[in-house]
Amino acid sequence: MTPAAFSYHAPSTLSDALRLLEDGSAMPLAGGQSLMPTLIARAIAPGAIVDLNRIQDFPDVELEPGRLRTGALVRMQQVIDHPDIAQNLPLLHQAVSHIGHRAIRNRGTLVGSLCQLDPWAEVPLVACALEASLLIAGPSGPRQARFSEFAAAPNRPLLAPGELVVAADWPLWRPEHGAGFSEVARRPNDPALACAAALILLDENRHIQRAVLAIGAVCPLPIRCHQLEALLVGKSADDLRAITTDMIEADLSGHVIRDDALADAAYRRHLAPIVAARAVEQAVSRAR
Amino acid sequence: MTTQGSALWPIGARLSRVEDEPLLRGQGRFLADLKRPGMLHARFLRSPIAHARLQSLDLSSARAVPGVIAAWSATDLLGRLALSRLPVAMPGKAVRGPADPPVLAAEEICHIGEAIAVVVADTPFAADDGVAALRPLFDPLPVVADPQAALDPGAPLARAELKDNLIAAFESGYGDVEAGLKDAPIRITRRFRLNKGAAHSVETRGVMAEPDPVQPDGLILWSSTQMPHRVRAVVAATLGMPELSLRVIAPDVGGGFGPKFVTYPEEVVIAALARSLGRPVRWIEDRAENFVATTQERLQVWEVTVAANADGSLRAISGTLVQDCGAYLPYGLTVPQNASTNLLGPYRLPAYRLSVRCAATNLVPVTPTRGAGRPQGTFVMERMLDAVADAAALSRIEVRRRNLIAASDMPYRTALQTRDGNAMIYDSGDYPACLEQAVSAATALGFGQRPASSPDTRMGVGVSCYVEGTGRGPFESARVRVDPAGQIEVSTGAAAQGQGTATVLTQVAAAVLGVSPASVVIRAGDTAAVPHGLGAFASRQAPVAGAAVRLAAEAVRDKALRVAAARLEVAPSDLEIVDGVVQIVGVPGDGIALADIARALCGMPGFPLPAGEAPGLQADIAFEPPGLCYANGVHVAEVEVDPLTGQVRVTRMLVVHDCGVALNPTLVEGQVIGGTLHGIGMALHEEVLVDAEGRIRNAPYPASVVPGAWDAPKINVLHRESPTPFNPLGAKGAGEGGTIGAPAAVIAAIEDALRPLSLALSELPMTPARLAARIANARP
Repeated sequence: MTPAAFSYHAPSTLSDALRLLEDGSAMPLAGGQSLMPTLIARAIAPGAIVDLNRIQDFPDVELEPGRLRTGALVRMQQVIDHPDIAQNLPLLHQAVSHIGHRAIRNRGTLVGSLCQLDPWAEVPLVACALEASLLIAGPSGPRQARFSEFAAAPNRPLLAPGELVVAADWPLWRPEHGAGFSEVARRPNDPALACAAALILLDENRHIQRAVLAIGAVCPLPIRCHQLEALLVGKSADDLRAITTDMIEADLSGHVIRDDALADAAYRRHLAPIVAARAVEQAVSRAR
Repeated sequence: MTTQGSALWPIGARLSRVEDEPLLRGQGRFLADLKRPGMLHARFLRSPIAHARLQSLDLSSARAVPGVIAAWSATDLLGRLALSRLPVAMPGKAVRGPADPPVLAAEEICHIGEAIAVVVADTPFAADDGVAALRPLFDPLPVVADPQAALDPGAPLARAELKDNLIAAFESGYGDVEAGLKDAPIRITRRFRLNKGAAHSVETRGVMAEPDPVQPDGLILWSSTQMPHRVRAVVAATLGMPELSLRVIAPDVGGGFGPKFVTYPEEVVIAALARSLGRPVRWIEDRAENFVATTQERLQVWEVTVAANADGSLRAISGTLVQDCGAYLPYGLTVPQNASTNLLGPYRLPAYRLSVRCAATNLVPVTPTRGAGRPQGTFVMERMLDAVADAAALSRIEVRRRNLIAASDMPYRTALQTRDGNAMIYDSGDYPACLEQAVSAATALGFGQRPASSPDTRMGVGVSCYVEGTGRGPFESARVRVDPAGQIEVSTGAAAQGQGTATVLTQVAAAVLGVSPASVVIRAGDTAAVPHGLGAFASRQAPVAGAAVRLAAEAVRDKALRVAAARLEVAPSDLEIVDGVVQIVGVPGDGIALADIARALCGMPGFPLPAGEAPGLQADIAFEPPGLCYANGVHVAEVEVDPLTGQVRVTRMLVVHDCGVALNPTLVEGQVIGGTLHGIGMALHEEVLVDAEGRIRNAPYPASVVPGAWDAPKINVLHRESPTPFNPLGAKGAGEGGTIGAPAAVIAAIEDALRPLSLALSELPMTPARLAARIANARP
């Protein structure tokens, strides 16, 4: 297929890009990993494409006290290659290694994935677990948004007309946290059918002091499992009973379970406690 | 006469593929690489509904789009065609109704994606804009989306012209099945569901046509087809033009796997457009379109009873098969026919009866993909043997040992006929030795012996045996010609889709003629190269086209030796050809170059040809094989299964493969490895999911899952060589065996990993969700 006609702009400054995006039918292009197939399938027909790739004023990978900032053009593969990310955000590093293969990671961007908000995507899951936030520029000036508020609906980020995400901010959790990630997909690196991200902090008696668990791909958006987290706190790391379906049911209740050609709802519901348990187990083994 | 010692790359050597350098340099010429001055772009309007009447279609909205040159419906096409339907039906008494698809659907639409109209524009963008501007109106009709429901009394008709949806019915079998079943110590009945699949070639289909710049009323058609001569016949007949006026060329083709040997409506429409508009017109199928516009395979439901003695020896098999055929029959009944005959496999089966009912449905038409029904028949037989082994408390290997046809029984005449009506005869092979070689090699490689890679997974091993009827006739053509510059031109009706046809034919010609492979040029996939030809199907390039090239090259060699013998005043038997020079055996120098002989045979005005020979250093051969030659093999699969998630990873495969003389073992291994991966895909992934309205739920990727290079296991291939007596090379086909044997071995390995659960897995593909559900239900 071919895209419907659109006008193409390649501004060299952020302010030019923002001005072009004031046209409500314009869409930004970063990696194009999701945008291009959608365009050629004519599932969308934007009046203009604003190519961000010539813009120099986006942040790169910036390590600051308490947080790591990744700019709008930081590619997935940089998560794997950049020593600051691998060392400081092991959860993101683990998750991104499940994404596609190198050609896809070379093109796709972290911020693009956060804005695309595909239900199966790993990056939004990690953003949910780590409580990431986004730096947004727009007609009414820059603002910071928490990911949990930004992720309004699948494929529908909460952005005002003309706004553009400039960077993602990833809080740095204390390095004593163990990170765990588990995913089930039809083939390695295919879209997740279910995935889970966990962070576990143990006390000196190897009891769980703090637990963070988020489930991806099962519901239309990543789910933070607060109730299961509460059940885990205080448990001995060496005596973790398997997470069962009923333990996670409270967190899933009220959410739509995805049902599509790759996996039906019953199978996704079946997988949720399995990936949760495996992510927690791995996080416990890596906590110090 | 001898050429021994002269061949630089003898038959059996691992000559590197001659095709690869241009492909690796990006110089391949696939359909989408072909561009002609003034070329127009075509797009098709396709039905979004599986069964409907076309109520109205107003093309003026498309014609009004800037850049659109023409928009045609079936009505516009009618006056330009001699036939309104493609004459693709195959001979066969079993077919009970019209089989041919329309060129463009005029009134009744019978499957999703059926072409209704075509828009031609000066850019692909404008052509898509034109199609997007169309607003066809449909009256929906009841959809027949399941072959079993289709055959229920009172089911709605998939096509109004049919009496009922039973488009074909036939029986396969022999022997006294009732006696075999009666009082059998072991008697097991299983139901198999083998779901709909597709071929997924990397290159989609494409067609380009242009008026012949030289020949008045002539037309040149490029198609990504496996069978250019067949396309020429069907397109010429449909357009009502002489075949001599139509040249069909298959350029580089990026994978065929079966669906590209079908002739499609697009080939006729693009040809008609180019003729009518007087300009080149091109259509490239897009990826999503490939899921509805290109034929698919299987969806078979089997119910089979096996009877065996207490020692595991087979007594009889009896069963039924319901085959989905989709909306039309563009390639006959090949899939269910091959499935029913290949079930026999390499075994002695005293009695057999299979009742086959073929259903017309409102699904994409069914034609063969790699294996062409054989993987399905083999899957059923191998799974039933595993069941017999378990019931008889035998190992799954032992039960096979007790039923294999002995080497001393070769050639083995089965009591069945193949679909060409000939007796099904296994020409050569040592099936028991093949199994033992596989067992000992798998043991030596430690299959199933190492611990699983994770505490979450369990390991299992499965085995399957298969035969593969290859080298289907009736013929293939070859012309070998030495030109006065010494270049060897090999022209053939064979066609290449990436399997190395040019390499293997080069190797045969070069070995026979004693020349370097670099001096051989292959012309394949072009109806102008040879007047008759068939193309690529049924694993036939090596045994049929290869044999034709060998015979033609031998005739050329003999002629060259006769001419040289006359000039050198020696006997032809005293001569050999070394690197393109005819010389006295063992006496280098003072020879005559093939080029010189070729030049002499071109003739000089007024002078006689040398040695009283006919003009030209060339020979034309059509090789007609006397029957199918049967390759065989054994697959051993090792898998790791995650019993909680149902995920399966094939960790290793071993294939012992006997395709007679391996003309080029590297190419054989490429075929076997690729075919095996295809079979793993059948076992675990590939499925066209269709809803009750006949719509495809998982198109395109990644919702549709196929195996890729990065999840491929290590696949070891070991060769055996049982030459066939049915062609002068002794070679059998190698293209499909990998696919035929793999699904049964993989599924058996999954069952093995999950012992002591008794899962009796009999559905393809075994997706993680299905397996997890089976495991959950098997628990007490």
